[in-house]
Amino acid sequence: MLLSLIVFLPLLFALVLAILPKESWIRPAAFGFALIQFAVSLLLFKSFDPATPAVQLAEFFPWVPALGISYLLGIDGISFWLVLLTTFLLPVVVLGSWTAVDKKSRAFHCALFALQTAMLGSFVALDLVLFYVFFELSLVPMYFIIGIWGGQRRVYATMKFFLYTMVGSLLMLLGIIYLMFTARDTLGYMTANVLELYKLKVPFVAGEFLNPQSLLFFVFSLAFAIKVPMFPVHTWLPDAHVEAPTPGSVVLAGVMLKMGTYGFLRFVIPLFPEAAEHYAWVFLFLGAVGIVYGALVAMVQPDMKKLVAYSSVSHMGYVVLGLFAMNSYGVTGAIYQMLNHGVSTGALFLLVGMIYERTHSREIERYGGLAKVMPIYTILFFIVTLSSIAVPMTNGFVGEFLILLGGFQANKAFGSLAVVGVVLGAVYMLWMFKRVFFGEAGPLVKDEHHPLHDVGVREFVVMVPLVILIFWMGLMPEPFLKYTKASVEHFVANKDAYQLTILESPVETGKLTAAAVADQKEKK
Amino acid sequence: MASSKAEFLFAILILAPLLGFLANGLRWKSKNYMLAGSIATAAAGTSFIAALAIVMRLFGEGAPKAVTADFFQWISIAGLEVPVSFVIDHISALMVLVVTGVGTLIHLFSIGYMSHDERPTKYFAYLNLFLFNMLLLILGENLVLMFVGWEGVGLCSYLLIGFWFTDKEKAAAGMKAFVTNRIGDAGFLLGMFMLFVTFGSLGFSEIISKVAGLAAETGWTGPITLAALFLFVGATGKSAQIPLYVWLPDAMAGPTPVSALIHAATMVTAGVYMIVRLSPLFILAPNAMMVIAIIGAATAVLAATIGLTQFDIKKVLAYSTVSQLGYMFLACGVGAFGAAMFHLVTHAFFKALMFLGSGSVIHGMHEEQDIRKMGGLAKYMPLTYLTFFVGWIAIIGLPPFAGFFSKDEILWFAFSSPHGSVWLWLAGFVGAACTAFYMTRLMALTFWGKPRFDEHHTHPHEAGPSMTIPLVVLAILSAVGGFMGIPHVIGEILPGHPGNWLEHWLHGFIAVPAGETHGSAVMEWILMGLSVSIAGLSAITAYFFYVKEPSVVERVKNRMGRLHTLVYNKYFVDEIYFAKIIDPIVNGSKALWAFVDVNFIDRATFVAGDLVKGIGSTARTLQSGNLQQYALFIALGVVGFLAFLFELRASLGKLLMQAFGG
Amino acid sequence: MPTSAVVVDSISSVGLNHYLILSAILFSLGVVGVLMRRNIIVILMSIELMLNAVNIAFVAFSRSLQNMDGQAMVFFVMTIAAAEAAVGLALATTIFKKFREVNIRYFEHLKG
Repeated sequence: MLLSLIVFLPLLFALVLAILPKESWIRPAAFGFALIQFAVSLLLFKSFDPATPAVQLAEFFPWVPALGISYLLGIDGISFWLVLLTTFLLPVVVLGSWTAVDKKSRAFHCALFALQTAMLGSFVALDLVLFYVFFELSLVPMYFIIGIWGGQRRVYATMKFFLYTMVGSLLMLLGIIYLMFTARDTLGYMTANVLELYKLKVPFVAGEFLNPQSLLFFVFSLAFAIKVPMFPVHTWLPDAHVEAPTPGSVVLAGVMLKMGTYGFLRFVIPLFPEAAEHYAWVFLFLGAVGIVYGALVAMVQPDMKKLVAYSSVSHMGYVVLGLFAMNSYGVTGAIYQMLNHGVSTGALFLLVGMIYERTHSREIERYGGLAKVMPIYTILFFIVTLSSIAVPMTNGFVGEFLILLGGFQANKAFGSLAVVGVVLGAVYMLWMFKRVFFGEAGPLVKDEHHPLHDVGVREFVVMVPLVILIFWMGLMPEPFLKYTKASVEHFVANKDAYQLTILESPVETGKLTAAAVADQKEKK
Repeated sequence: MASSKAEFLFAILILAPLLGFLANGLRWKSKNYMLAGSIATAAAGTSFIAALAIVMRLFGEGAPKAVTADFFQWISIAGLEVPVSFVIDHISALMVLVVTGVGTLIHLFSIGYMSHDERPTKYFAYLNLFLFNMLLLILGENLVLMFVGWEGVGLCSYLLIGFWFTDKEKAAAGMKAFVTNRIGDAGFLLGMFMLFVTFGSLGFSEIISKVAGLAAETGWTGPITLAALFLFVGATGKSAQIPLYVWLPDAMAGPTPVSALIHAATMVTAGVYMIVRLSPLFILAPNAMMVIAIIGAATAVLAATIGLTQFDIKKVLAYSTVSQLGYMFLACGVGAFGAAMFHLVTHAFFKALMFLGSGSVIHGMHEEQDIRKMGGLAKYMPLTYLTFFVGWIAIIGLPPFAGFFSKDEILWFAFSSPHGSVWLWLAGFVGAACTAFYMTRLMALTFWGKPRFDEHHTHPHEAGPSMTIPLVVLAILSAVGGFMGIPHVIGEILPGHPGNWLEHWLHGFIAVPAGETHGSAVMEWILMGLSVSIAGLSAITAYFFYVKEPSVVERVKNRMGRLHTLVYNKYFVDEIYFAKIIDPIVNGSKALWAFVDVNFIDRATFVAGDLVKGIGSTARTLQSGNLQQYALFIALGVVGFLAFLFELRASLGKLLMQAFGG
Repeated sequence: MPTSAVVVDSISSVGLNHYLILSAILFSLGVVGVLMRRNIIVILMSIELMLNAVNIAFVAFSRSLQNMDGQAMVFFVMTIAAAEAAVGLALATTIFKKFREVNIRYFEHLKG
């Protein structure tokens, strides 16, 4: 029951927050709850066995037996760290938004906790319909977070964000239904259980585009590509980020984007192996282009937050490149990069939020010479910058190195193109850093009416775990990689016919689904 | 062979600077330069002693070929093994002693130099961090570890160049250095990937054992050639070669000891070191070697000519460094890896000496760097003058000082090696002439002649012992450092017939080009004589120009006219880079943002949205709110449906009739 | 009596079709009334007309087929019609009280 507990505990907390009698209790309570759910998720370390690629801690209940839809949760090396990343970021976000969100804090925290449930659910759901429910559910709280607590153009950004992601996922719903019917035709019973669906051989014809597997592949890919977001369907992201409040940005960049890349890894590639193999070059290309494109456009942004948003496009391009390299280095690197991006981009958004709270401006040109006024802030920002541009000994390097190595091995041309991103990454981050922190004091910095004070204790405490993680993951990646290794090896070795079993499962989910279906028929 | 003691020593060697960094970094608000400097210098000194202790093990009968130490597995995924393990063999021994030794001296020098700075702790912390990264670079047993140090030193270089970050120019110089280095690093990465894809390993010893016995590659697209070229791109970035040399002169924005340590003695030679390390690989790619030799020779000449015209004392030294690094690459390119290593070491001595000397001058002149405003300093700063004088002789290559031996060896190999040619020799020869000229010019304008500053306001003075001791030590090294590689032709005529120790030391560790050498002992004597006399001649000319007849300089300048403008402005390379590469990229990116993101992708989605909206607003007119209209639609619907039903029935009936009826 | 015979004769010669035609005419009048008239009361009356037209058809078929189902159905229809008239008129009077208006064109608040 651990997974259900992890997934639904935040929802419970959201309800508690909703009925908490005093407004002033909300923040401390929310922070406490966030810590509790993080602590609960740490129990995973105790029960998770990193040595096996099998799905662990599985939970199964029939939900709509006639359609083969079930409540099936499970965790393996692919989702392990993503779950922990999600639970880890919540206390950071709650503490980080202590002063950033000043109206309707009750509703805000409820939304944040509800979002947590949706995100965690989509990382552990192994039933496509259940996944879809969580995947879509996550839009709702985020919709409100941006729409209510956002900036000037929040309504526009919210609509854009919602519609973009909706278009993709509705098509995916069609794909899911198609898959379920295919299961009925080939397996003899309807099911949305991914472990069962892996066994399907959706018809594939290499030469032509219009065949079921390719179409399904692209339908699913579109949904996840929008979420990632991959070039060229990325334009919702900068708007959403710029308008979102700091905690919204952190969660959006830190966790929600990973739902897209996770989807590729969990569903797209294993379900449609031939199409994935055949069209891998498209994604390698788009990944590499995304890296370079995101970096180039980030370089010329006048707004700090938009710059970070575009840097996300670039960083997520690395992840896609690694995933579609489909070798151990690429996939490991991609998973690692997802975590890195969660940590370092989350930290960047928090830092930008801190300075925004002080000056109410994110315009790079109006800063300058900040290093002299806010030295600790500068050091923190610099460390995160290093992580973002993947300097060795920070977490970013391990991920980028593995991805580029894998990408190069898979396709020399696109791999080499992606390496350009290494240079451009340094350019846009350091250029921003130079303009904001170095040189003479800019108008906002020397404003005598609003002297800038350095980071306070709370802000420092928020950043410390992130900074520690940056170095920890950079210096000692093995303890982290240990948990993904078995799953990745299994994934790479069996990418043509991917199967997952459930470890020490009390029930054979496949048989159970079939039995439930048979039962249903008898009644009729 | 690695005993636990070796690991212990390695840990001290590498961690001492890191601890120094942490110690100073954690008390970053302190302004106590003495304490900060002492901590940092002690850390560097500890490293040096530890290095010495390890290197001593390589000497003597039955000594191991290398001392290694394994710590832990950093990354290990499906055949990619990156252990944190270090090695000191005969190549890295030289390097590690130079880095820690010269490094310690420069740390010591910095105590005096940075005594007036606001944030000495930060400075020394960075300096220690640099040393730590440099040690990773040198000692790492695999390319990834080397790359960690490689990027790390770049980072420290960035921090130290932009140390006085409130100055926009200096911050920009730091960024330029980092980004230019990053371009090289990207090449390094690609080279690494190429090697891994080809050999399945990134460990030095494994790669070298795998390439052993392979035939040299012809053509340009073989994996080894490509890997070598990519790695060389990395080297051009770090070691400031064409086309990526532009960051080094700007890097002089940093404090002068930093220029001495990072931008002369250690970091910038990392590219050379990397190539020497992988010499068995490079030797298999003759085309890549040719590229390296040509780039090296071209850089040597180009930078030397620019050096002729500069007025900033540090800029002159910077271009001189670029030029000397060019010599090292020339040596690598012709397969004289030993000579490259030799020049690396001697250059570290005399260039560090000269930079520290210039630091002493700048310090004494109260932050003045323009040599037009100096002159006659010999009498004010005798010790600095004397040591600088030694450095001067060493660099222009007069025997028996260090530079003579190493530079001459390079020139000889450029001529005689199977990869060499008379043209490469000629380039080196011209470079040597220029070097002698601009260095003499520097001496003349700084120390000789009459003072050109206001003697009432400025009182140049000799600095304290923390600054002079390093100068003296380095001067001694510059004077005698060359004796470690006495050429055979000279050794034969000397009493006791000393051999070429360095050659012997590196034997078996570096590759030797296959093929016939051309040239004889007589030829070697002739070339040696030629280069020494041209150096002497051009030094005398410069002396005449700048001390005896300054008017000649103006005349020559005017005669040269446009050529002088071209050279004085560094061939406008920076401007060309900006106009042709950087600005187009920035503008192009703005265009991408404006046109692709905003005007294309967003517009496309808006069009799609508008389409749906249009359909919707057309459809909504149906819902007029007029009840009777709805009723009409219902009625029409019913009628239509009935009509359809009857028609269907009729046609079905017909079908049935056809099927069953007669 | 010839007259009565004629009458009886002509009555007996009134067949099913005549009833159906009458029913159709009444129904059509009702439809036209619903579609064309603006007054809510009249529209309600027209609806009654349509219902009664249906009733005629039911009874006619019932008699023609000698089956009582149709006539039973008529009672249902009449009951419904009564209820409908009650609710409809109540709505109409309420609307009139509120808006002082019985013109159906006035009530377009639900347009899209």
